[in-house]
Order: sequence, then C-alpha cells, then structure tokens
Amino acid sequence: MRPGLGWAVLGAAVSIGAWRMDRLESLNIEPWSAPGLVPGVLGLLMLVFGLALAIAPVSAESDPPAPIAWLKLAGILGITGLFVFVALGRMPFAVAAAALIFVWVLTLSWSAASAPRTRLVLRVAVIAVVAALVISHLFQDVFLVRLP
Amino acid sequence: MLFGALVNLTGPWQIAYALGATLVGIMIGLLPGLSATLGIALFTTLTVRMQPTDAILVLVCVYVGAIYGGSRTSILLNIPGTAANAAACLDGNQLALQGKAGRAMGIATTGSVAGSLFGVLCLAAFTPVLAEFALKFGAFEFFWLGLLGVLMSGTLTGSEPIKGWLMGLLGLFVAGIGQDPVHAYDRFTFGWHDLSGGIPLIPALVGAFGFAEVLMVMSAPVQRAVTESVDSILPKLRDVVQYWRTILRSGLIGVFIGILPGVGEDMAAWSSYAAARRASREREQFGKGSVEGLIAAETGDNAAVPGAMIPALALGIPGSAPAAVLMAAMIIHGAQPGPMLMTTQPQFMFDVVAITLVATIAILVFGLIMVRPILWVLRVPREVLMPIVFVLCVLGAYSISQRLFDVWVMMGVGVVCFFLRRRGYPVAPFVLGLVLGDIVDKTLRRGLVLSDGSLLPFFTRPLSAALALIVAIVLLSQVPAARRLWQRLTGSQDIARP
Repeated sequence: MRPGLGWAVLGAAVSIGAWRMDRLESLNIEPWSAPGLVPGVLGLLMLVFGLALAIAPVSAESDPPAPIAWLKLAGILGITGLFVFVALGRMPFAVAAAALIFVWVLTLSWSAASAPRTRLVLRVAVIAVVAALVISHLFQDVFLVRLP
Repeated sequence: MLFGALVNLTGPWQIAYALGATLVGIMIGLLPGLSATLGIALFTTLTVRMQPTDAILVLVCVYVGAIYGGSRTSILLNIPGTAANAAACLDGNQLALQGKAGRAMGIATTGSVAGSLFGVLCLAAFTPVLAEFALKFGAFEFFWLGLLGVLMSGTLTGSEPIKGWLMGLLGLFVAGIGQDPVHAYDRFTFGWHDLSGGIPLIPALVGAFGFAEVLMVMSAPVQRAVTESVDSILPKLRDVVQYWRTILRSGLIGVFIGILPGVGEDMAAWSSYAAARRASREREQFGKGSVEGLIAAETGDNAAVPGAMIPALALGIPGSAPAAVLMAAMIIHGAQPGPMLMTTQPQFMFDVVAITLVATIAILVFGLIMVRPILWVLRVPREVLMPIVFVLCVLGAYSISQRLFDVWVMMGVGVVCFFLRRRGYPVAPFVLGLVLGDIVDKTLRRGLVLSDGSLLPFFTRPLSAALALIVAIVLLSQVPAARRLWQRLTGSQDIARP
C-alpha cells in the first residue's frame, strides 16, 4: 500500500465522525463552537496531506526501514501484554515485575550466553528480584505512589 | 525576587534533589534511546506529591542533565545520547578516536555550562518582555501560534516534513478525544467511559518516548563497545577565552531557536555548528575533531533549553518537545504558563530562572567529578536495562491517576509510535500536537464565535496576519514548486543540514 493512504482513510473517517457529531442546536449554542468543528478540520487536513504523501514520489532520503525480528518483537509484546493485562492487579506488583524482568532477560540472553546456563539463570534471578524490590520500594515508600 | 528564589533552593533537601535529579538526567541522556522528554515525563509522575518548587527543580535538573549527558555517548560511541547531541558526534567522536575523549568531554562541559548560563540570562531578561507583549494576543494570535508550533516541529524533525505534519495533526486530534472543553460533549469516545476524560497526556508521552523506545532499542543492531581510555576531563578556561565569539554566537542562536515554537534543541545544535563552521578560520578541521565545532554544538543545544522555556512560560506555547512536557508538569503543579503569568505568579518565573541556574551548576559539578563513574551505565546490557525501563514506564503511567486504563494508553501509544517511527514518522510533532491541542481547539472556536464565523480577523489583525504569513511560509517552503520559484527569484540554493 502507498504510504499516506492509511492517513487519508483515517482523515476521512475522522471527518465523517465529526460531521455526524451532534451540533447541539437544541442547546442553542453558537454554531461555530460546535464540538465537531476542529476534529472535522483536522480530519480534512489529514486526508489532504495523506493523499499528498500517497501521490508524492518516494523521497531519496528515506531509507527503507530495517527488517524487524518479528519473533523477538512478538515475544516482547507477548511478555509485556501478559504483564499489563493479566498480572497487574492480580498479584503483588513486586512479584509480577520480578517475573517479567526474569523472563525477559533470560529469554534474550539464553542463546548468546557464554557462561554456564545455571549461573546465567541464577544471575538473572538475582537481577530480577533486586530490581523489582528496589523499584517497588522506591515508588511506594519514597515517592508515595500506590502500586497497581 | 531572583535572590529570594535562589535562597529558597539552598536548603539541604533542595540541594539533594538538584544533585540527584541532575545525575539521573545525565544517566538518561547517556543511554541512547532514553530521551530528555521521557525523563521529564517519568519524573512528572514521581514528583506529583512534592512541593511545586521542588518538583519543578527536579524536572528542570533532569532536563538540563539529559541534554548535557547525551554528549558523552556522542563522544564515546558516536551515537547521540539524545537527538540534541547528534551534531556533537561529528567532532566529539573524532577527538575520542584521537585519544582525546577526556578533553572532548571537558570541552562539552565548557560549552554546555556556557550555553546554559547564557540561556538563563536570556530566560530572566526576555520572559517578562515577551509575556507583556503577549498581552496584546487574542484567540486569533494564539491559534496561529499553536498551529505554528506543531508545523515547525513537523518541518524540522525527520527528513520528510509532510510526515511530521501528519504526526502533528494526529497529536492535535488525539488531544481532542474525550469531553470537549467548551460544551463538555463526548468526542470519539464510542461510549467508553474511561475515554471521557481524554487521552491522558503523561501516560501517552511515556508510551511515545518510553515503550516505543524500548521496542526500538530491542529491535536495533547490537550495541557498540565503549571507548575505555579517558584522558583529563577538566574543562579549560583557555577554551572559553579562545572561542568566546563562538560561544556567544552559539548561545544567541541556541536561545533564538529555543524560543521558536516547536523547533527544539537538536536544530539549535545543528544551526550553531553550521554558523561556527562558516565563521571559523579553521573550518577544514570541522568533522575531523574540531574543538570549536564541539563547543558550538554543545553551547547551542544547552542554550536552547532555557530558550525553549521562554515561550512556554510567557505564551504557554513550548519551544520543544521536552519543554512541552515540562509545561504540562508546571500546569499539574498549579502554575499557569501564559501571558498572565507575570501578573498572577511573577515569583514562579524567577523560581524557574533560579532552578535552571542551579541545574547548570550541577552539570558543572558532575562534569568535573563524575565522568568516569557515570560511564558504567553504558556497560549495562540493554537486555537488562530495557525491561527495567519498561517497568518504570508502567509505574510512571499508573502513578498519576492510579488507573490501569492509563497503562493501557501507554502501551497502545507506544506500539503505534514504534511502527510509525520505523516508517520515518517523527514523534516530537505528535507531542507538540498533544500539548497544544487544547489551545488550538479552544482558540479557533472562540475566534470564530467572536468574529461571527468570519475568518477575516485571522488574517487582518496585524499580529495575526504576521503569524499567518509565517505559517504560510513554513508550509510553502516545503512545496517543491514554490521552492523552485523562490530560488529562481532570489538565485539562492537549498540549505541542508551540515
């Protein structure tokens, strides 16, 4: 898909949404203060710039993005998603954070590890527990923030 | 008032806050990927319960420290610690390769402190003047100023301005989600109750600069080794004496670019560097380890820090992305940046001046004594650092309102910004759009109501017309046909970054 078409579609959707928004005529407001006015204008501008981007020749300056390691990215998104949507609020924060850091660091260090694996697991476990405890203590007791 | 503000910052807690926050700021700047904007956003959440002056002290110290600290990574790794330090790579890393890493860091300290001090002077001198002048501004002028900030940021960050403008528009749109500020009507909430309050600013910023950065760093090539040998890091008075013209010029350029809405520290560094190269007698040394080049870049970006605070305080329009977050934090702490600030809270402006001065002294202290100890941060493997940064992002997003919804916003914005950044879309205009969205929305509608639907006052009031002209120039300067016409009329050439 040409870059810019997605923006044009988003701009059109925003404009339509803004057009269909209640103009609060029943409240007898000034028509120029209608809530949909600014989103409508922004949507139209997005549509115009999106189309301009779509029809513009591809810039020589813009390098193609480096290939993504999809498996690694999916792994990180999976771990962080589990942490945020499943673990948070269901177990003590320090435990959830330690588990997240342990799994994340161990997964990414496993294949490149030169040290014996048992030592690696122990080292990562210590890092995870210490980091989780320090962060929890810092936020809860120093900055007086309630943890999730 | 300034003396009183300085005295208030001499308490033991205030000194501890200043030193601690500057140190953390330097570490944030040192680590490629962690930006000043992220540092301020995270610390905004941590300082919510502090006294307003102490909280602003912490945030300004993080800001100044991060911009200064980024030069270390430019010198040692040839990777800018923050975008503002990209220009410092050119000569800083060359000096390091010649075995003069310590000397380069001393020069960076000299330039940073000189630039920051010059910026502090300008902050104290120009903010009241600009605020008084801005009392003449109405809704029409503020609309153009808000739009100008977003467009300028879009034009100058990234390689394709149209992508920057689209990100700015996206930021303006996202800022409008939730109850509209005039009639409290729900816009684009799709019946989701949590969205009625809008997309929370700080969690969105933490996502855009934090989680997106975590994903970027984890998908980037392997880190490069740190230069181990560091010679004497003491800044030399001789450099200040020998290059005083360069320091003064770069300070002026830095402050001026800082004041321009939405432009930022990186452009200040590049412009100062380019001006120094043009005026230098040793211009062939630029890019090969020029002391003058490094001083110019570091003076420029550090002078832009107080420079970017000037419009934030006087107009309520921030000069850069980090200043936008700082301004949002000031509002959270009860300050009301804008033309009325000097009338309603004059002491606050002097507090900010004194705080920035203290932050400058703190970077000098750390520049002298903590260069080698701080460098251990660069040796922490990113596999270890990034999950910790992610946990901090989660807590940072959660801590302001204690809602899991804010954490989801952080995650969502982070993932979207990650994919957009990979496609070459800059994030800074999105941030400016988020912060300025409310101003642009309210002033456009208020202006139209005042003029009974006529667009004429937007173009016929003198100040409004001047700002509209600048906006038109910013837009037209990126249209190839208009640029060719201008070049034909003036016989000028395209100006590119050095």
